[in-house]
Amino acid sequence: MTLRDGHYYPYDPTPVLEAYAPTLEKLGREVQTLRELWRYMAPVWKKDLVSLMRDEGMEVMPDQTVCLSGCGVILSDHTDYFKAGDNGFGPSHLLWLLAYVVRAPEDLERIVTGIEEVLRRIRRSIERLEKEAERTWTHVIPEERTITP
Amino acid sequence: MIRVGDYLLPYDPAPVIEKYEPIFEHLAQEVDQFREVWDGIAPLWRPRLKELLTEEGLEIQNNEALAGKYGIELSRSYIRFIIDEDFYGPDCIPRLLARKARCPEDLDHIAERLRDVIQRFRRAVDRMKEEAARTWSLTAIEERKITP
Repeated sequence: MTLRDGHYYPYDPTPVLEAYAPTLEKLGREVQTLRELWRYMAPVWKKDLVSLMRDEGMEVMPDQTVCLSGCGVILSDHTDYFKAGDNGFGPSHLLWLLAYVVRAPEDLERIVTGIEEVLRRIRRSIERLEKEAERTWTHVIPEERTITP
Repeated sequence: MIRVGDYLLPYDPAPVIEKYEPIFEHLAQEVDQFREVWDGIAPLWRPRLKELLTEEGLEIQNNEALAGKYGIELSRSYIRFIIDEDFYGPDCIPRLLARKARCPEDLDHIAERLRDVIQRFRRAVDRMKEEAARTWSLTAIEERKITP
């Protein structure tokens, strides 16, 4: 048994931490970037972004969590960044996950893959929104600019 | 995403601002004239102007002339539009793009509604001038006599 942070584990979690901590940190940074975007998104476009995220098959909860098949990211300024089932956790909570949620490497892999998929779909929604906005405003092109006071 | 003021927009608003800024500036200049009129109108004529503005379908309250949710503020200190019940200054395009206008038609619609308020105001002022001209028309130059 290995004792780490007050819990006994029936295996040594060190290699798991070494393997997955950088991944979670990277995903955490991506969530941070998306949170910035979500916070400052012009109100007139936020509804469109939510529609596009739903269009991408994700659920957008009232608490600003974006989920797909039980995995998700939290876009509000919460201390937790990710969601796995009902559990919220941050990039530095890997050991906690191993203590309470994840029993096998496949479980951890499934959570990481799920979060990555959510982030990919959010990014795709943003790209679609940008294209849509570009199309919407396309006729205000430089050639047509006329000052008509 | 492009930051404009406090918000991020999913497109480059520079051409939009360039196109619509002069339109709103022109509207602001007109509002400036009317708030001058409203502020300086002889007290004797103010109630009549208010009546005429009301006849033209404008609601006058708290120094605001409103047609529905759109209007102008007649304050001495500010030039402000009222757009969908919110206040906006002449440099309002970035804020409008963040909060109200999702497409060019929305901006056109807002400008149109403000223009309509300004037209009604102008019509009321013109009617008052015509009315005053009629009222005082018998004081023609030929007839003017100083009778102390």
